[in-house]
Amino acid sequence: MARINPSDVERQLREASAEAPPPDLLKRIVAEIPAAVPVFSVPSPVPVRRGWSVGARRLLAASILVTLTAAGLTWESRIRLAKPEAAALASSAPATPAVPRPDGVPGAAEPPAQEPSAAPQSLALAAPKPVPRRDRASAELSPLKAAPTMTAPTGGVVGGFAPLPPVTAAEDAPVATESLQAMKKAAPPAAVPGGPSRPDASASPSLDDGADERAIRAPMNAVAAPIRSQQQTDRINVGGNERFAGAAPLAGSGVEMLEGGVPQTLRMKVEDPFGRPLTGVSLLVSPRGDSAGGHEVATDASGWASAAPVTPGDYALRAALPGYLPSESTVAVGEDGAAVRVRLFPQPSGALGSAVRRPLSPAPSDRLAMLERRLAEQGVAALSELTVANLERGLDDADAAPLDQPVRLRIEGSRGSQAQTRWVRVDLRADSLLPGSAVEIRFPTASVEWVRRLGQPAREAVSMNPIVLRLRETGDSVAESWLFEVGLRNASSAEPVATVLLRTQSGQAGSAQTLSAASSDHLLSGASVGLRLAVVAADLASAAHRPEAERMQALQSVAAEAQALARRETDRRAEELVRIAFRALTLASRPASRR
Amino acid sequence: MTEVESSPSQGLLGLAPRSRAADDSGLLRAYAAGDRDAAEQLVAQSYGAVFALLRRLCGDSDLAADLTQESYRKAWAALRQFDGRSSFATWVCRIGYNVFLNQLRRPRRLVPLEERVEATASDPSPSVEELVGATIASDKLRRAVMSLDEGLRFPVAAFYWGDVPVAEIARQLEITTVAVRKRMRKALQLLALALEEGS
Repeated sequence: MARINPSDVERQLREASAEAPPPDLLKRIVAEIPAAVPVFSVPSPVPVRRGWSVGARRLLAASILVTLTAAGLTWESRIRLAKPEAAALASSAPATPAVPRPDGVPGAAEPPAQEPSAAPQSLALAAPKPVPRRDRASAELSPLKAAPTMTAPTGGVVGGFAPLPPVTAAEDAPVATESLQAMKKAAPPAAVPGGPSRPDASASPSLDDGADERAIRAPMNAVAAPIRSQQQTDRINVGGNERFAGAAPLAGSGVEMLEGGVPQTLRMKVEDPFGRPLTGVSLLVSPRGDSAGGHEVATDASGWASAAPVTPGDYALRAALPGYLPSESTVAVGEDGAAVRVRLFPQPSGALGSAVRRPLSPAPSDRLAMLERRLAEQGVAALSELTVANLERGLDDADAAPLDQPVRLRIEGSRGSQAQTRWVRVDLRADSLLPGSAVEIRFPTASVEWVRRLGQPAREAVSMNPIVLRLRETGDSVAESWLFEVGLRNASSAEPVATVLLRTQSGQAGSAQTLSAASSDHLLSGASVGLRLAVVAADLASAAHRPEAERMQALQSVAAEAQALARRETDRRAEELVRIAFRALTLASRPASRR
Repeated sequence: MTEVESSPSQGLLGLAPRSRAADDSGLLRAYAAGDRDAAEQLVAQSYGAVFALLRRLCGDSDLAADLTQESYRKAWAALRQFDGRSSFATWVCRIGYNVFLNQLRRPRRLVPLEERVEATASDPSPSVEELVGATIASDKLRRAVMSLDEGLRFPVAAFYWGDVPVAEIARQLEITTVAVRKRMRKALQLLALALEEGS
């Protein structure tokens, strides 16, 4: 084996054969210099980055090490100091009088015995931010009046999730107690229905170990899991098309006891977060530990449902309604029966969108090729000379004629002449279960030149930002979809195309999501163009069943429209050129008998 | 070693890097003011280097010419993103390099390197290329360069084949000139090993 040194490689690299550029290359490149001068700021040269000296590197490394060590020590000491304070603050027990310590330090208080358990409990209740009772009352009267506690900050972009609805800690206590009770009953090996056991705060399990803390956190995690799952599954990246989900989740469920029980009857009222009755909610009441038996009822128009007969004991109550988070809790039925109110919270709402960079953008010098030889067999000549530019120039409306069968075409970019797409299609879908929800979409003026909503002939100026799209209420759901065509100022894929935000009627907003037409390959795809052409061909083929005169007229109309569009609108030129191309081939392949 | 001395040769572009950068700035300013001749001059100064780089990368003159044309098309479209970190020629070289990589990834446009190697190995009959020693050596070298990691490949290709000075490569990659030289030394060692094994 011959020994080769790096210096030999360097010599070979220098000597690698270099050819002079083809004589016409400069002319070809110069011919494509855009006439319109793009707006850019003439840059100033950036200085070269010099490497750091060894001493400087060592000094930097030592500084980082010292900083990190100090930060770690500070953090640890702050955690140690903060633990007793947090526990004391979180305790709902009345202030414990100061007890002199044995060492005689005045003012120092021994932590109360229940303190370790109180801290996790307060964590479990801390998810919705408590608000005064009067705000709660006004929220129940009118959702709009609850705006001060739910309205997102102005400015459009809101991150994170806002809890809805706000509830007081006092009202939330039974809910949490129910959850705790459920967990408490789930923990023993067998939960046997026993005597009546009204929910009571004193029934909270002992929280003197980590297992109980986990038990308290479990209901919260169970509620949060579908939200996380929803967010994870909504984000998809396929083939360079970016999809996203902007979620404004409203999560949670709960049960509270009401007065007015009827013996041997469990009465249930199901409401949404705003206190409105929910109809058609499926309720399953089964004795605790016996999943087989039980009653299955549905709520009426007033939101009420009754299960009877029920013997005193603990029952598992499951409530389900499409579009809402399912609820499961334990209800204790006494000798006088029981009445409960169940709140169901909507599943996370969201907007789902995608920006698809249109693959169809033939350049004038691109060639057309047939995928079938049928036209050639019919004696059509000079197909190899067909280019998009020739078609654009040479098509004559008067000579239009239909084809009996569709012909599949492929547009082949003459080598290196693939065009870049400068427009994308934004497919936006949104759904929500809250009436009055809307999607707010912004198109950044820096990267978007124009916007056209499908079904509306005129383009909308970008200055109309933001465009607010109301979701349409259809039956029991609120959903809508929109299609936009967006013209980009340049072909860069990294620039944002749209920013989408879902707002509820009360102004609550999910986190804004930015949509960009990220695509690794902007070049013309022959296969996708062929597919589109096949679709166009199918349209033409369907016209073959109509009388010839009618077809001629229709095709002439299409051709005229296509030509007009091609001349007038550069961004739609691509799609229409395909039509023109197809039209020209129908002309060229017209059977002799019909000429 | 000064930055000017880091350039393998200065004949291809005709101008030293420093003066070329300053000249680019003036030409771009003129082009922004509507002077099309300035743009043509920019092209005339740089297209040779871009073509040379692409010619050596893809080994096909026709394809290299097409890719050069495509590179300039992309460059005009993205001119507003040109930040002056390097000269215009270097910037277009980088675009051309990316265009070449995109071309490699596209099916049926160019036979992937690995497939080409396999095809050469499995075909017992000598091809026309194999009959020409110089072509073989050149092709081996090209394949060896293409088998380098991306971080090593661009500095080598740009420096030796695109005639791009080390300082400009450093600006493009946003690393130091020392790091560029280190990468090139490592790349040369790897290339030597690869060529040894190939021979």
